[in-house]
Amino acid sequence: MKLFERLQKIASHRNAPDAIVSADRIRFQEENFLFSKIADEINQVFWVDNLEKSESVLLVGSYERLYGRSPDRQARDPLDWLNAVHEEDRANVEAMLPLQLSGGFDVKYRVVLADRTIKWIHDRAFLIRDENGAPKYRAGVAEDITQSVSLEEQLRHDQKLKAIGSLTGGIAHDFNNVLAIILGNLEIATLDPGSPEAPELVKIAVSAAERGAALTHRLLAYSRQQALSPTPLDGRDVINNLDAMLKTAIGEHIHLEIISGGGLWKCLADRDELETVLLNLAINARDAMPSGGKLILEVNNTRLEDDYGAGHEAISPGQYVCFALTDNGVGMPDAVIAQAFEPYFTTKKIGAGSGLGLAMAYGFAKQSGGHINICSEPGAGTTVKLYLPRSDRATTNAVTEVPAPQPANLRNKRIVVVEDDADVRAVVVAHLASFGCAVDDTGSAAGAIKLISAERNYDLLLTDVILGEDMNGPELARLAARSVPAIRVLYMSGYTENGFIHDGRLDPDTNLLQKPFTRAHLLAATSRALGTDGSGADD
Amino acid sequence: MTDCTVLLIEDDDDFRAVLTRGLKRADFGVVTASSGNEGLEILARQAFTIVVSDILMDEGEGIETLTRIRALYPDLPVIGISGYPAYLDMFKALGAVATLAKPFRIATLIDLIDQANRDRNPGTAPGTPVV
Repeated sequence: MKLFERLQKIASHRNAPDAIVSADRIRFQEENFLFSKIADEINQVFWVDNLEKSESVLLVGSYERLYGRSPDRQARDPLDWLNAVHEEDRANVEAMLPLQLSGGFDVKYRVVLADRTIKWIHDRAFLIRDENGAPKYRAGVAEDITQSVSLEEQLRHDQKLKAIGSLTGGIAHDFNNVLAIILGNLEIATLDPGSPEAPELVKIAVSAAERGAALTHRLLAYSRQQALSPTPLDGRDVINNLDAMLKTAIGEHIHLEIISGGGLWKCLADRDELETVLLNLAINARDAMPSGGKLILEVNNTRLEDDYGAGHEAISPGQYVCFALTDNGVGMPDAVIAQAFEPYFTTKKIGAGSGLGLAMAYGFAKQSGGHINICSEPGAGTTVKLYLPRSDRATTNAVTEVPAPQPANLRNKRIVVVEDDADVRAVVVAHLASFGCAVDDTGSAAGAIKLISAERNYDLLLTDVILGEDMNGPELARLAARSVPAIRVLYMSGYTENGFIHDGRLDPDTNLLQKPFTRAHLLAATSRALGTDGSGADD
Repeated sequence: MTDCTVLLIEDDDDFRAVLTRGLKRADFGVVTASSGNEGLEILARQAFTIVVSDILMDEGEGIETLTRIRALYPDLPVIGISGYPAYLDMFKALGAVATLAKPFRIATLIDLIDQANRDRNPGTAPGTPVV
């Protein structure tokens, strides 16, 4: 039996707690002697303080070894041990002390010895009350847990390295496959560029490059670095619109049932990303039901209480809209659930980002201020619940049909392109010129300022966010607006950890073109930034 | 077409297609399989000069496929290809004559196939049919 439980038992077995220091004194002294020997052997300190007299009445075990302080000083001052507590932990420990007056406490803290060695202590205490129920003594056991903390840290470190290894290995595998397709097709195409098959080979290479772009998109989603544009959404509308795509994705052998409660709140989320996440979750459910089954997609209002996340990561209590996907597939054991959100932790084949679906969903939920969890039982099925925060703004569900942008609408628009990568700049300039735009380009912010100061009639500044100099894209845009107040700005970036993105959300009215992009993406983003796409941006 | 026939086992449709195209341009006969099991079924029916196999695949992992090929057809050379470089050494240790990390130039793979053929039939010129 551990000392702590032993001490509790002694205390509880005596009707009159005073017996500890009176009738049973001899027996207690014998036990005290034994405790002292045992505690010293196993690196524990057994202590009792008299609360009325504010003095230490018992201190046995390896106090000096654990705390690096004299037992005599502790005997004179019951709080002397606090002087050994690490300054970063002291406030936390001191906050616990009043608890001893109403009950026990359980705290872990570090102590700093004279030679600066740090030890981890697990200190647990309880009260011994007098016959009237008033607290009279406080007793406890302090244990040296340095070794187990060190082992836990090593284990966490190993697990982290393993996770990073899986992630980098998975990314390398997926990108190498994509690059192999691009390289192979371009290699054959360049052997005979004039052959009739060359355009088809280039097309396949482009398609593979888009696979690579989709992969980086998923990785950014996992690491919560994608640019989200959250709007108030009607969850019922989202899943109704997805219905046909979901049915196609899961196949005819799985029956899809959609349930939505009445009075559904609006949730605040990026519609495109939410649709992608729901689709990924449905595909996971499909893979869990190879012989067919039933998938229920339910959306309803949920309140998460303060204690919802107890023992887990921080989850803000409040009102959420919950999207729950339930399948009756093979289910998952707890060990798989515990790692299911890790990137490239997959029970399926590695390849083409297959290990990123749940990781991406997790990143999306967190970046959106929500939460995601999994309930599953092997053989019974799985429920994944995605909680998105309730929106108090009016819904903007209606997907406005905007006519496809036309290059003709960009004819003669004057654009200055700022991009420090010459290859990327050349491609952008070539595309814009083919739309009929009048384009000037430069590789630096300084070059852009010169151009803008000289011309003063640009319609659009198309700039990289990170320019590799003292000035970034948003700063350049502010300067450009001084010279040309009406100038529109379109940023391009391969990375979204930028000045105008807060918590992964774009500032309203910011136009961002995510790299890598296609000609069609460039046309759409340029048209939108200039307000020539009919979306009303020019109004 | 030469008499050199390649069994290509690769689960990625796009990559299988481009490799097939490249190998056929080099005058190899190519038969494809999208999984290790399918590759083994084809091998049971038809003789090949060499096997080019992906290492990580959905159905019948490449490692298992290689082990079974080595047991059933000990003289048949196998070249392993993978986007997961860590597996290449293992593939080599299990008896692959060569390995290639993706991405690679198809010309490099063709060189390796020629080299494997020469090693198997010393004295033959590159690209010479061996069966």
